[in-house]
Amino acid sequence: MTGVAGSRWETIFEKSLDCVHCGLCLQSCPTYRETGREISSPRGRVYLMRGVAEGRIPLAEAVAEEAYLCLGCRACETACPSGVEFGAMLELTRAEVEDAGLRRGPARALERLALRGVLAHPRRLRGLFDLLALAQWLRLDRLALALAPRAVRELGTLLPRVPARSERRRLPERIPPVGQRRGRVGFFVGCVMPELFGRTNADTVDVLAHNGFEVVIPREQGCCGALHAHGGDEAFAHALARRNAEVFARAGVSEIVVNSAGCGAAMRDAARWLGAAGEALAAGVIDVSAFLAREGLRGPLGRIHARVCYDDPCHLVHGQKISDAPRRLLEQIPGLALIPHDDPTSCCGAAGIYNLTHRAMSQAVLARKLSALAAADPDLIATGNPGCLMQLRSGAARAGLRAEVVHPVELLARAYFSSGVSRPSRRIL
Amino acid sequence: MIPLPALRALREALGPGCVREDEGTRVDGEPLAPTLRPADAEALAGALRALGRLSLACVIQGGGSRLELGNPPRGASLLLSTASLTGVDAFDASEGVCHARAGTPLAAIEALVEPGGWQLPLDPPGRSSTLGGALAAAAFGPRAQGFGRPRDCVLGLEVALADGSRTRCGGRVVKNVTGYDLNKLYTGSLGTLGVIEGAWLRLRPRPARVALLEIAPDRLAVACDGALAAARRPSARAASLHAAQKRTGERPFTVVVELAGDEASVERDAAWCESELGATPAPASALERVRERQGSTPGGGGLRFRIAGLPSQSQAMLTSLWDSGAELLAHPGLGLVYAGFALPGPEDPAAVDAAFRCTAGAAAAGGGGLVLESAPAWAKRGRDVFGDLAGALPLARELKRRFDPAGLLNPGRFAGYL
Amino acid sequence: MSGLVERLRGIVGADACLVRPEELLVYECDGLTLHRAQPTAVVLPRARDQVCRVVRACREFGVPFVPRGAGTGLSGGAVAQRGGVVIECSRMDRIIGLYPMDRYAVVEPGVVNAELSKAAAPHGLFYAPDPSSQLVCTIGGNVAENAGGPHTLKYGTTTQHVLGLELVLPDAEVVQLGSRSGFGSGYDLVGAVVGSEGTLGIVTQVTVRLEPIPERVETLLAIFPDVVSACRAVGGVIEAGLVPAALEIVDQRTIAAVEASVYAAGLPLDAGAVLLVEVDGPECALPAQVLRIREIAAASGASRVEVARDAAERQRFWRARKGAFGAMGRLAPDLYVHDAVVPRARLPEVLASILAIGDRHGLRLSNVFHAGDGNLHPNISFDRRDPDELARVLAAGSEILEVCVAAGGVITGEHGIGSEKRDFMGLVFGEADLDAMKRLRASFDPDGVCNPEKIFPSTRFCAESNPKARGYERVPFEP
Repeated sequence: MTGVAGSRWETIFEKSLDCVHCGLCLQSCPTYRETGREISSPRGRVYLMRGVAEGRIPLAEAVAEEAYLCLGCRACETACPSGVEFGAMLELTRAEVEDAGLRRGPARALERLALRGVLAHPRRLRGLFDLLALAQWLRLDRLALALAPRAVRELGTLLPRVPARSERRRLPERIPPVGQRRGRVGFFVGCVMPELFGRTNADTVDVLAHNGFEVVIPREQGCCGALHAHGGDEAFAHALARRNAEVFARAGVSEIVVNSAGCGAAMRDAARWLGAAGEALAAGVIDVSAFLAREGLRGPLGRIHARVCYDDPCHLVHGQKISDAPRRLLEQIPGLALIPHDDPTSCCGAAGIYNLTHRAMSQAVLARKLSALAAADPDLIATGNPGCLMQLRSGAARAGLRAEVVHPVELLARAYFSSGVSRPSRRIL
Repeated sequence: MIPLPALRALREALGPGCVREDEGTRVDGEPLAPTLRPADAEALAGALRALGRLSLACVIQGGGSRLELGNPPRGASLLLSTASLTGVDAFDASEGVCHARAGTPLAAIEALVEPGGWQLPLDPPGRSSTLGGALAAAAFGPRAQGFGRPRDCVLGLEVALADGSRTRCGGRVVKNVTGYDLNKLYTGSLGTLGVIEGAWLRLRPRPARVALLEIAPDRLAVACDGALAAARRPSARAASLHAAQKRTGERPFTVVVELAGDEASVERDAAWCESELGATPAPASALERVRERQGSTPGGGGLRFRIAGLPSQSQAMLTSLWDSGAELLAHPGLGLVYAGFALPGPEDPAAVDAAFRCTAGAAAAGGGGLVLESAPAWAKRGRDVFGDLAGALPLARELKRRFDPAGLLNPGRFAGYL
Repeated sequence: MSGLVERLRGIVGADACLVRPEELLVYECDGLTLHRAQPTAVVLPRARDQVCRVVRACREFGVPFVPRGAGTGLSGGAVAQRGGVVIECSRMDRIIGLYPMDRYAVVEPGVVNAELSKAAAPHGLFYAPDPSSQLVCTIGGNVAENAGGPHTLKYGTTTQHVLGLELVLPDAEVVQLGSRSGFGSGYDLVGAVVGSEGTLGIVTQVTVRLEPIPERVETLLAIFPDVVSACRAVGGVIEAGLVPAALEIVDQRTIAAVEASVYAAGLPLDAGAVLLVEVDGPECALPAQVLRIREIAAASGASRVEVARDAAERQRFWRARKGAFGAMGRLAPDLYVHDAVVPRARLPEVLASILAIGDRHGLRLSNVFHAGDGNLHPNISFDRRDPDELARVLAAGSEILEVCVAAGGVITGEHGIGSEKRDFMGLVFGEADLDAMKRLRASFDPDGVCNPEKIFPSTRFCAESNPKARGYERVPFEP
């Protein structure tokens, strides 16, 4: 192989050889469906990556643009008959783009600041959200957005209401099981989840404990590094993963339950990122839906009389090949009718911070998703990833869909704890 | 008759036995003599070369069963017959593929393949129909409902071009995308691009069971609905409607349905037709009668139009034509209506105009096209019997110009007067 | 050239006119990576009018143009061999109308094959020609190649399902061909354009025939000790007068590859061949057919015959067949999917010859085929960066075609001639035959500007010689 040296390009090149150029990935790709351009398709992107690796084209603006126009949804991996590891190739390419300094400007600087400086630091994140909550309470956010330029105003619509303090309270380090003990698992709280989806985290540990599992929540855990890796900040992402690997190793749990598809997929990459040091973490991480489906739900479950559409988060269905488990769980809730909608495995357009960096494409992709959901007209939309939850919630509201957007584990919690059954986490707090 | 030197030259080129001076005919009033009847494909090519050298144009004939189809010939002097090119020279009973020469009567092919468990998917009107003629005219009968169009059974063709070159296209295999699909170009071209020497055909398996039913409703609308519903049954191979104006004790409306296929499907569809449409078993000759009617004209010398529209518009087409006094034969499942008009006397252009007005109206209602399949020569004057080719005419002219620059083959007869 | 680009931008808009080297690189080939040439520009029109104006602009600037669908073709048909403008039709993707009562639809060329069937499904109809790339390939591309698929045995190929076309001719005039009824006047120009590989003009609208979805489908999987017995069973089924919807065979080498991959379907590794039979139609008719097929399979030597009990099992059976491509694709960086047709009765002997050819050239070769119509797909896993292996792959391909033609077959049943098999046309057709085809082509495209260098033998090679091994041709980009 001639061309660009460096172990990343060698790896990218090797992986690109898996592609036989059949094109079966094209229709699974949201950006290809929107643009019809070969270069904005998985096959086209693999060809570009190979082109750079072989020295046929330079690593320049066009490649950098495409590397980031891609949503990273990995639906192409599911469609690919040859097993091309597109997600891995994309990450490596973005790292190369970063190292080559091809993404510059205030937007990227802000992104760096936010990801490295805030997201990775739980206390700073908490501070930021406290401020945001205050601003929202004082209606300052409305004022600020009204005065802001349109672009910022649009971004602002994505911002959810920061939940009440009570929901953002830190979970205890250990929650004992209810009834007969079935095992012991770790729980990954995430970075944004405790701030915006604290209730979902509480629901998760409550459902686990109610099912007889002791839940261990190490204090020193931190951000999984997914957004950093997706942003080409390889070193930082790997450092975050290393820390989590150490923290959970110390906690002495063989399995770590995750309720965020994006985080789960990233942590399962730990072996690829860190080698032997990441193997235990990668092997131990399991999505809450897969875990509960495997272990079996304890009865009884209360009734929820509603029609629900389950929408697959990309990093669960494509990134982890989990699509059956969440559906099987929902089907066990009496009264809940799981209804199909068109193309549940296609991306909602959130894709980490993509909905901030590539607003137009994100909205176009979201529009397809919303139209499919509108056609099914469910009472509930369930999906297991915070980014997707935010995207679908704001999108559904703007599109006038009446459905409530929830995490599947929230529904399980409602089924267990609605009629006076007490929550395990509350007993401790 | 052609000039004597030309006659002599042809006799020399083909051999005297193949130049039949005593055989001549008139097509649309144009006298054509002699009849050239080459003994084989090589001789056919030789004949074409000779015609080219002598600048003599010809009308091509197979079995002569539909010589009246087309505009009157312009500048043709003689008849070129493929009747001697007969024979089925290959039949693969394990695959359902056969090869026959152009002059082979369809009946002969049918007779040969049937014992092997196969059927020829071509059933045009005209007992003397030959393979070459049927394909050149893309002729079909009521069984087109189940068989599809004639072009769909052609796997390969051997064609002699106007310059005498012998060519092949397609092949003997059922799936073939090797180069351009000239099979489709030649089929239905009325011999104006080349003369078919022989064809590879895809046969259909002989059905385990065949049922022939008929319905005799007293209203046209009911007949049309019935025929359409029957056509939509899975085992329907034909579903045709005949509407006769003259009440000579004959029922005005008859629907004939042929079901063919496996036992269970035919039984089920027959039972359905009986209970839902009031169908009863039809006499064995019922479908042949439909076929004859499709190929005839009232009083033997009248007009026959073919209107090709959409199935859902069959009723609209039929109603408007019935009201104008036409004899009707329709295949509603295919959206096809054949309308026959008797002509009161010799040379009555007004009657022809009136018939055109009715049929044009029906064609418009049906969303389709109009062809005057059969008419006396005087009735064809001033009109292209095939209708207006519109945007496709320049392309058609180019094709004709390249395939037959000297205009030797059926000149003036085809759509666009090509 | 910059004048042309200006003009093109004016017609389709800057975002629909691709000229950057990286953007053009990805259009240098289609599904067959061995034939490559970069275009001068790529445009993505949204409407017929834009296509006309693009063609007119190309004529004025004297550059050729090449229509392209999803670029999944396997004969290099969408490669801009002489540069020029690739007209990518993916944005013309509307289903203009669906008419269930008369069972037809009008679509733009960029409509994806499977999407059409999906749209027709609520009306109890489907679009029958189903190439294995149907999830991504477009109707326009299907028209160009007269695409087939496993179900063509019963339902026919694309040409049986195209009733009308709107075509932008190479001189930028628009012509409407055919009719919704399927019975028109004049030459069958629709039939001539289907399968013309994009050389007669750019299709901008297609009227297609839809078929009723069969009442019921039954799928059988039969295991045979060898290919000969599997083919015998196929022959028996056809001679019994049955018309299955699909008859597919995978050979032992394919089974080994599939079972070693993620597509493993639980097939026994010692199976010589696996036959997949699908019958469809009225519910009442199928039990007898299934029984008959079982009898025939057993009589032909099947060690096991299974009937799918539900949709999931049916999918599992098909996975064994559809996984072949992916499984073979994983064995090496490149995969060559050949495509030849022989009379069905000659399949076993031709197959044996093909395996021998593969062995003789030291290649990883396996076979998958549409047994019902004698259409073979020998698959060869290789690495095109190894010039010796590439040469052996091409030599083997050439020998395979010769064997098939000698057995009474032809050189392509589905993939078309494209760039790939131009120089093999002489195996099937003589000079006079090709001349007749050239007359057709010249009638539409007298100046040879619409997808040139396809179908007819290249002037660089004489028809009898084998083409030299071709690595990819690096065409320098000129702005």
